[in-house]
Amino acid sequence: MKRVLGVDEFGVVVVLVVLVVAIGLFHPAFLDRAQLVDVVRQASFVGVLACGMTYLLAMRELDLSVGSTYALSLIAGSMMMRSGVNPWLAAVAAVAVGGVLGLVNGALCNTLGIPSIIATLGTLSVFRGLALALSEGRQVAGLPRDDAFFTVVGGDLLGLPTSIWVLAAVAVALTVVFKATPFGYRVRAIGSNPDAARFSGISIPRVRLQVLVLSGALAGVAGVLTLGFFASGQPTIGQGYELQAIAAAIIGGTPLRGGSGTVWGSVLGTVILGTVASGLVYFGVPINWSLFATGIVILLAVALDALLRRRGSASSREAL
Amino acid sequence: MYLASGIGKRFGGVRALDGARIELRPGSVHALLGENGAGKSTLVKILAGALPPDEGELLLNGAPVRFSTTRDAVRRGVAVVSQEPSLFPDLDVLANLFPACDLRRGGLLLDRKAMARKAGPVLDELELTRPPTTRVGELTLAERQLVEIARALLEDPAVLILDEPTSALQADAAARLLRILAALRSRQVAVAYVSHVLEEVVRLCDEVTVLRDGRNALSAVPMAELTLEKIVRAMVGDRPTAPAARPAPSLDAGTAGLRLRGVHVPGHLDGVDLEARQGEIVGLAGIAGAGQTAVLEVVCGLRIPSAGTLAYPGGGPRPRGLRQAIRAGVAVVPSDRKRLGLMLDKPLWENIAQVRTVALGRTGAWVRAKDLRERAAAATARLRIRASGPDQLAGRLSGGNQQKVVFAKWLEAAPGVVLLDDPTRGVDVAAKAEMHAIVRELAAEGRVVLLTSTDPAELAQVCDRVLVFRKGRVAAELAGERLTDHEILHLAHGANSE
Ligand SMILES: Nc1ncnc2c1ncn2[C@@H]1O[C@H](COP(=O)(O)OP(=O)(O)OP(=O)(O)O)[C@@H](O)[C@H]1O
Ligand SMILES: [Mg+2]
Repeated sequence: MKRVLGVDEFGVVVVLVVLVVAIGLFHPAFLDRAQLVDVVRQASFVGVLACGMTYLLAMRELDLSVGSTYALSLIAGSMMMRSGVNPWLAAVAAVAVGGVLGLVNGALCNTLGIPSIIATLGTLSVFRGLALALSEGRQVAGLPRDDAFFTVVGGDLLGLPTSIWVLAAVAVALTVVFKATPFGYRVRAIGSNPDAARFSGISIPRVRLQVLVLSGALAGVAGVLTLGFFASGQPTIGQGYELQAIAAAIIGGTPLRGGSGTVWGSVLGTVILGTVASGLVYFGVPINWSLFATGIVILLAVALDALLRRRGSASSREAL
Repeated sequence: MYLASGIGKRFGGVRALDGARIELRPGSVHALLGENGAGKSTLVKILAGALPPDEGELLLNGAPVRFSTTRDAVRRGVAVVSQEPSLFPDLDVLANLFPACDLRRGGLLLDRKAMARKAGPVLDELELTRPPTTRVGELTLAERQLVEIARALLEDPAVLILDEPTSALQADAAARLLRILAALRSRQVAVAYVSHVLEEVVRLCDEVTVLRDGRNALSAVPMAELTLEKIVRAMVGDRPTAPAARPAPSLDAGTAGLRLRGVHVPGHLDGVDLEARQGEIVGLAGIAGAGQTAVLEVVCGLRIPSAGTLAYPGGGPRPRGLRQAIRAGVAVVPSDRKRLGLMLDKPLWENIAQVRTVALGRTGAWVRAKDLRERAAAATARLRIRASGPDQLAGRLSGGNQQKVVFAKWLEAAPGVVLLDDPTRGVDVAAKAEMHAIVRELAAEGRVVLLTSTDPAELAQVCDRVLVFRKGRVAAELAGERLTDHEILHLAHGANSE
């Protein structure tokens, strides 16, 4: 257990519990199981993106295009379904589209020799633009809603929404890869000291490409989950998700300087963001103040976590 | 006069210093010696105000002092050249020389002209030939070390502390520094000098303090009362400090070794032929930039020659880059360990596993941390890496112990061609002997070893053959009776052979 949910995530768990209890004290209805499950379900889309972002941050890279990749694979999937392709097949294709978009990002970085933050800043608009152009700016509707795809992916499985199960599966798989395979160690080695990684025979362009493809494919997965739930495709969906995913990863304890990361922390970070959003509704914060309030809560969460972390490592702190 | 007495310092569970004492007197060069991890750098940092002591007191000219920062210490006349470069790589040499930015025009703008005027003589004295507008990140390790020394000298200190200032310097640059130290002595500066090059210490220093496990094994003993043997014994006790006599290499004449033919690299190599057979240790000597490092870079795929051929033992195509070379079984122990060798924020075992398990994936689809920890513990014991265990972070090791970790990580990869670029930089005498023994074992197992060193004596001692480079060409080859440090230096500086 300590392996999967180690001390790294302790601070975030505390923050989350404090938040939930604080809201519940004033509004006991928030502690309702259905309500809590719904908060997690709503967070699950960004959660999947944040898992990929963890890998990127751990190797000192960023993918700003995930929100657009998410929308474009969702639009591609929904248009295929509308034109009669088997929804399950279309779902697989949508994930593949996400992977290919990640490949495009990686190829841009490696052939032009530009950092991923620049390349994906460009494709953020390119991919979003494509989604809008393909769908002609309109919602893609008229999907075969009765298909099992929508009831399974958009519905429940063993008492929990399918998207939560998928998020959990993604997080478990990526945690294991991160902590127990050479690939995961390569990602962290690059983030820790890129020069030393290169001098050990690790190919930075190759790992960067692999991680960007992973991030793109995960955006595709999130797109499929969203499609299953809404049974329609909205080209403007997911704007700002890239920043939410980055914020979630950082709240979760993945440092910007690279070298380490926690996938579970990022998932918890997304749930914290989701909890804050619902909490604001419960407290009736005026809609124009909600963004402000969200920002304040993020800062508080990071501060509390940093405080707990410092306590934990006080004995091994360096004087220099 | 600067006195530190009863100094104690702990890092977590590690007792780095335990009642250490050193007394620096004006006009005296004081050697501070000890094996890797003995506590020298920790004591230096305390003297320089970079670390507060847990116990003990510092007296500067009789008055107790407590520095809160190194800047504080500099203002009181205590300057230090630290073991690990502490320069700003993105700033140019001049900006690095005046970190306090105290030369200004009208109190506001930096006066670069005045800075250059002031720095000029010092840079000339150290013979740093690069223009002062060069970005420090572009300098070699040795040049960075010279900048660091220049920065300390510019402070015009009353107390100057040098932590392994010559470890990256070639023999001629080291000789220059030693001349400067002699000049400082006559100006009544109090100098503390940390080094693992004991011959240098014996020649230069007036008194000796030896630390062992954070305690004084010798305290301010005049050099006249000491010999090299006595110093070594105080440092390491009875551990062997010279490997057994070198057996003749058992060369396998049948198999082809590493072969370079007519290799050209514009500006670096001018038609180099080199053949190293399996089981052979070939030394590459020369003054800085003569071509020996470029040869290593060609062999490991970092530089692609414009003409000529390169063949690895057992055939195989010429590598297209560093990664292909490493996959083909080449090991590169770089001289710049902090930048190219280590992950400072990672435990020892991850550093040691980085090539074999992580980069090459030779241990399968899973990283088995438990096995790797055990292997790292074995390597730690063999190389006498002074650490609390395989989980200690590499950044918390002493300089020499970090160097051993870089060596260990390449040993793990079981390479066929071993490129060692000054591998014993900052390593103590006993550990150096151990590393030499390992290098010979590697050769005896049929690997090709190419070795460069800033210490010609090391080349003479370890190598079967030494190629001396001059201006990108092999100027001479030394073996057998003629292979002496004297001859290497002589030829490297331009005397003709044969
Ligand atoms: N920041 C730190 N955290 C934990 N341990 C440390 C730290 N700095 C030094 N140490 C430990 O203190 C001991 C003394 O280290 P120090 O750097 O003073 O050795 P040294 O004599 O300079 O060795 P070297 O010759 O290798 O440079 C070592 O065991 C080292 O691991
Ligand atoms: Mg040291």
